[in-house]
Amino acid sequence: MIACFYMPQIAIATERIRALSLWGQPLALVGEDDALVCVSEEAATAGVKPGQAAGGARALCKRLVVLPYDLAAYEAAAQVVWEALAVESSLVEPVAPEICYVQFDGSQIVLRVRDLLRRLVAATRFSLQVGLAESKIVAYHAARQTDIDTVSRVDRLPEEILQEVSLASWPLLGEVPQRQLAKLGIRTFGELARLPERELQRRLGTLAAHLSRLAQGHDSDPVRAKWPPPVLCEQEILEYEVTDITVIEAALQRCAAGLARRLRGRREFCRSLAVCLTLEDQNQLRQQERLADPIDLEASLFRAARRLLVRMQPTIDRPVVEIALQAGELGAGSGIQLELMDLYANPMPHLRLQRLRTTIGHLQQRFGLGCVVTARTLWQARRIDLWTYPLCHQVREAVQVITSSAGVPVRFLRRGEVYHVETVHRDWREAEWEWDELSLHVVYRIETHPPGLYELRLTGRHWLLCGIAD
Amino acid sequence: MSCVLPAATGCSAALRTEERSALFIHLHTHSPYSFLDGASSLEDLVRAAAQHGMPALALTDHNSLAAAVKFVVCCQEYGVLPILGSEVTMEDGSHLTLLAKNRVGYGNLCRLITAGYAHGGRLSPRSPWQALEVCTEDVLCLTGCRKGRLPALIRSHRYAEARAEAERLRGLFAGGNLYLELQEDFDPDSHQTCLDLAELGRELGLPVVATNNVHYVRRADYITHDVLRAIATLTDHDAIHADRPLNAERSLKSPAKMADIFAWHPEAVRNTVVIAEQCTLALPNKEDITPRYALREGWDAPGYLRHLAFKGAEFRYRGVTPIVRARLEHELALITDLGYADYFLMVWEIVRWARKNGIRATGRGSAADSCVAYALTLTDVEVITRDLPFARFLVPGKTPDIDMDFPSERRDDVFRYILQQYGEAHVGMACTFHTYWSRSAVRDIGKALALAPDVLEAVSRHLNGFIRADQIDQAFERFAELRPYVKYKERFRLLFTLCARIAGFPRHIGTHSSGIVIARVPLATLAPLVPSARGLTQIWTLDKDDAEELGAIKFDVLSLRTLSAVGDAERAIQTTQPRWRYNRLPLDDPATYALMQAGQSVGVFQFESPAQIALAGSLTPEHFEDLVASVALIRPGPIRGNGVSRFVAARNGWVRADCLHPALQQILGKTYGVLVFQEQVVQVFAAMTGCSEAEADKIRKGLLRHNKMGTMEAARTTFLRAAMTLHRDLTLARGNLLFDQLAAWCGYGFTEGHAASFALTGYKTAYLSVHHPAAYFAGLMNHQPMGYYSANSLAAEARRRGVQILPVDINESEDRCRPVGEEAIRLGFRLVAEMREADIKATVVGRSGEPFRSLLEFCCRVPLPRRLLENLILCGAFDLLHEHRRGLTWRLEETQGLAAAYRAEEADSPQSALRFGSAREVPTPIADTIDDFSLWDKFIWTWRLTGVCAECHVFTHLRSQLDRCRVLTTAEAMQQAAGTRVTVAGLNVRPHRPPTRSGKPVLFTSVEDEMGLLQIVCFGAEIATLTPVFLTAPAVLVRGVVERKGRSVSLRAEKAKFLRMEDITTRLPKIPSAPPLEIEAVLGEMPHQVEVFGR
Repeated sequence: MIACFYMPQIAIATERIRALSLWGQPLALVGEDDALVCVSEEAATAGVKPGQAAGGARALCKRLVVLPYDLAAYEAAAQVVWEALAVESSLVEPVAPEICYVQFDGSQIVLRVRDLLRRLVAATRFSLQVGLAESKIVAYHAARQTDIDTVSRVDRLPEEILQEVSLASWPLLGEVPQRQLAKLGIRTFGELARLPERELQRRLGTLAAHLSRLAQGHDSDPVRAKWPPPVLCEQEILEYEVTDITVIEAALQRCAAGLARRLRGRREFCRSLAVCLTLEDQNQLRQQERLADPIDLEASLFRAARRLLVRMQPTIDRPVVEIALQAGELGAGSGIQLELMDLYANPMPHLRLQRLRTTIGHLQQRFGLGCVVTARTLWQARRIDLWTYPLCHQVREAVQVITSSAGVPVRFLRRGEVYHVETVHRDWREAEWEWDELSLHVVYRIETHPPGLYELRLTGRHWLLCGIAD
Repeated sequence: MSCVLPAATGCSAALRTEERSALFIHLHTHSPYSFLDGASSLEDLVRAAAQHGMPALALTDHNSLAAAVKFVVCCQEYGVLPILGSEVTMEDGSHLTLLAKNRVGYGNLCRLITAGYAHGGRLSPRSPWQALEVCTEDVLCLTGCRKGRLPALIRSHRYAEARAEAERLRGLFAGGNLYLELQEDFDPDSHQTCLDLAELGRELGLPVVATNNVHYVRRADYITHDVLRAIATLTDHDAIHADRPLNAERSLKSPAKMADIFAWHPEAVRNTVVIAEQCTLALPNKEDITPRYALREGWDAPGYLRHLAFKGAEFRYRGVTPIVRARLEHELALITDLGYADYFLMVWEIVRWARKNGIRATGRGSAADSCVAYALTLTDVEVITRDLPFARFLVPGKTPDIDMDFPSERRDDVFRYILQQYGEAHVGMACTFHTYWSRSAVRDIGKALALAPDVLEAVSRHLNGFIRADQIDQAFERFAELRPYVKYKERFRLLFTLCARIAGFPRHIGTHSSGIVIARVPLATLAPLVPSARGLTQIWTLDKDDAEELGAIKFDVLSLRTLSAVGDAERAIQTTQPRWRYNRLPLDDPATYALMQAGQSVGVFQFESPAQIALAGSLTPEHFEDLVASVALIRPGPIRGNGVSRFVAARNGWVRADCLHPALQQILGKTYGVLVFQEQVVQVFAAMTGCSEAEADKIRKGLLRHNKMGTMEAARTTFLRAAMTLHRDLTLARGNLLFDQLAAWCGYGFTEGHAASFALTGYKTAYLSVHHPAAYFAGLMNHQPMGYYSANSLAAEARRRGVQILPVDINESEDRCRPVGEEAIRLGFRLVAEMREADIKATVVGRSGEPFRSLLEFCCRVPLPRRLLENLILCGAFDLLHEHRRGLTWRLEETQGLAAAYRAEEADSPQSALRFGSAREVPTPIADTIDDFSLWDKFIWTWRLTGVCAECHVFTHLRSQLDRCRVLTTAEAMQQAAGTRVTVAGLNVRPHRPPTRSGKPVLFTSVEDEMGLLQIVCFGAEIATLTPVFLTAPAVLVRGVVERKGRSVSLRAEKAKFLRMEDITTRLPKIPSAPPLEIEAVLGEMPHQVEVFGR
């Protein structure tokens, strides 16, 4: 029996746990294609829907907060659920943070799943809908149709469940084949099921067999265990109980060297790193970090490990007996990603942008739309980008600026350092509007001492550092 | 130098130097007629210029002078000198700002823009540099915005090329007509570019001029401009595009501000005045451009017109009586005095050619008030007996307007003849400006705001086309169908705010439906010409009012599908009755009047609307004059003036006719004291106030403005004062009653001649529908969309007249629907979805006398694409050859593959290997093992793909279920006594909300089932809940009370629900037959948005 655990609001809930101020706020999460992936109830009330463009959603809801869909974070959040499920079954397939399939065997499955659901809801406070069926497709539809925090057991025949389910819900069937099938009188799985298999096969070829099985509720898709995620681990059992931090660091360095060797051997990079210390009382201390860049070098790994160790140091109250360095999110770094980070190959921003777009397109085609999250979702592009090619690094940092009597910046203070304006290369005006409110800015492109090229933006009386030259 | 700065601004002919220094004139301004690149209305721009004390203002829309006339009129109101110009896009994509110094310069500018459209195409004008070389006389050139060639070269530091370009332009615009344009719009490069241009000017001795590339009046309008640019560039408001503005600096800045910005170069500011002083009013003023009619020696146009008029009168009146002679003399004298003889002859010539070539032509509109037009056979309404006033058609100061109807399918032939006769350069269609109303504004701005398409569709679907874009907010309170969606009002606050800002702005230019302008001078010297999308006649970029201002006389070549339908019917009838003629129908046929009285006039021109059917029931028309009155009565003017019920009552003798004053007896006597025709309004004003008819016509036209501005009461006072002064016996009460009727004519109404023209066509079509229903309804179905009803409703009506509707058949159908004897209509291929003319031709030619025996044989002989074959199969075209529609569709690919094998000519073609035996002998592949579509599915597919339910009405299929819930047919409902409460169900046909006298909303619709049409009226408290249902549901279930008025029966709706197919097919059969159930209990509350019947 396959159970589908459906958590439609997990992403929203995770964001709200991260930032408590988001409770009660209309919130939407946007994917890299600028389409909303998930919307909160408050946003839905204002007419915001998943699939909508973020800009359009903002035009509907003035207070809407749009955040990038942070897949890793939601996966991390869903991990609690997945782990709990993994205790009950060895076959757990998390498809997305929202959907997870679990294969259950044995007796009293419904009771067990109900109990599990109750415990999960109590522990996580996520809303869960569970569908139980013999196949994934039926379980999924059962889960979607059931109420929140309830288990829906499919007692009817799968064909009956799918009777009214539109073929459009099967993501692999395009719009044109759907229209074609409609002309043949096939719109739902139910209609499909009524056709003789031979005719279906003659008409639709290999697709027919698959469709036919689907119509009978057999998707032939087993639950594929993806648990635990692949990690590489290097560990060292210390010969004696150690309290000296330098010894631990030395052990960490050896682990880092071994890990780097193995990563390079696999031609992979890791994107997260964890240090695990086992204390003499067998308690474990763990510190984990998601790395800014994918790495595979010993020095980088060791630097990150040391950083984690420094963070753990106050909690190390007993001697350490075992040290483990664990590299996670393997393969996250790749040749493509590194190439993109090479700023020097194509210094002109438009060429870089072109290459970036091509690469993102390729990746999305290959791995799905949500596989790439870029900063575009965080930073709204400015129209001045068209004119200011030398500046490619955008920031929004409040700075203190001293101006001349003509209002031109003379020097500014940033992070405790004073920058003297040597030349004002250019100045221009910009306008932005949101919800019928027009804001006007004057922008200065300046060269400073200590050497640097910056853009300062004056809005009313407020100065912002908005660009830093490469 | 001639200075023409208007005195109103306080500028004298020669401005003193110190005065000039304080002045600045915007010479680069865009209005909304730059199409999505101007965010302030013309009036706002001119008003702002006047407020800033600018003595002049130049309008430089992109590749357009479409706003020239409106701009000049507006400037004259504010005492500002209008300078006409345009920002022209050259062939390399660069921009040049060109200003016309005078009429010659204006003509050159028009020619250059015309050349641009001819060179670059309708949507992307690009003026060739070569054309510029011959169009520079009296044209001032400013070097353009940042998209100008010169500024672009400067910006990219190509100074040597910039210098050469400046020299080249100086050569082109010799005599000091070239100015380097400095635009300080605070873009990153703008200041440096200005400095460099000024330096270049100093080097070359070229003057510079400051402009601000104005796109809006106030800085706050930047948002509107940005949104418009987002629409134009197909981006949303978050996206980046080079053609979207960077900042909000392109406002109409004050002279002080401009002087401040250009403090470093005051001469650039001063030169704006120097340029303005060189410009005079460039717009042509009422030039006589009508072509001279070519005549034999010894004739002149007035003489020849007189000759033709009297000759025609002899024929029309069987001899010219003194009355006719006097009338003709009067009309001819006025036509000759005003110089319109050539225009009459030109129209006569075109109509004569059309008739000679078998193209039917009938006149309508105010021309029907002219005896000369009647004598020339342009119209068919007898003027003398009706005493139609010529003044409604032509008076001094008014341009005549002759409207001629031609069959829609032959109208292009008329255009071709005109083009051939007068030359392409001399003929153009008047243009129209497609302006932003609520629906279009919501769609465009919604896209720019990146709102989801389904959301936009949901919002715009509920906004009807007559809500102004700036009144969407009020519409949610005003229109009942919008009230359920009031939540949208807040949700789309930003959208609606932005919509209001672009309300009425032109979005793009279009072609007037019929107005053609013919000139003896090339039209491109008066206004630019743009190629039309149809590619037949060019579009003259002036709308009809502006064209009239320039002196052009429009000739309306109208397309009337009814005439095409009549033509089809006539040809079909003549196959069995060769002597039958449409023009010789008797006007006193009792059966035709009986049809009208019975309210069965579906498909009859002008008499098929529910309002007309209802009127016919109470008026019971017995002769032609009743029909003329009927046509004119169902118009906003008479309806608002409560004219309909008073006319019916007086006509039927229920009340005494009251003309309110003896002076009106002669005018209103024939219409029982009711103002029915537009001429009567004019005559009443003239008779009561003593003004001339021309002045009275102006007063009539002014009623609309009074109504809009809310000054009707002031107009009433003026009228009463004048009327009571002239007629001492007029009491205040009766004067008020009279003005109530007159004030109602702020709405639209017909002239008597026009009504009579329409009534004549209407009567003849009614005659056809009575005596030749198969031929006539087949003709109507061939020319859809037309009239009030869909092809399906027309088919249902034909069926009720005993005509069988035969489905599309691959061996029997032709292109058009055609009568089969007197009792059947065979549907034509043109009704089948996606069948193009070429496909139909291939099918008919492929058949060529030898019928198809199978689908396979058809595919062998006619290679049609798969989707068309599917459509033909699914609509039942092969039903007589193969019964199994689904089985055919299922294995269609195999059939096509086999057919390809038979068609393969090469013996060694791999396809030919599949050949086995004759195509006739080989069975068509059919998937017999699967079930065929159900009867219902087949029915729905036929309806969906042809638009017509062939074998029966859709409700025939549902009747047994509906009977179980005591849902009556429309025929049964119409037999019930008045006051009976009944429930009916049917298709919801043409719901509409006409204006009412009281201003309270009322909704009319018709429910159509297999037995007929029943009028539904909805008013009072129910309208709020029922309007959304009636306006959006394709099929409805209605409960109401039967009402009878004369012979007409209607149902006053009390409840109405959406009727969903699934409810009927799934819920109703489960009901036990006894006791009968209330249908609401069965169907429950219906959601608002549902798809009904899959259509």
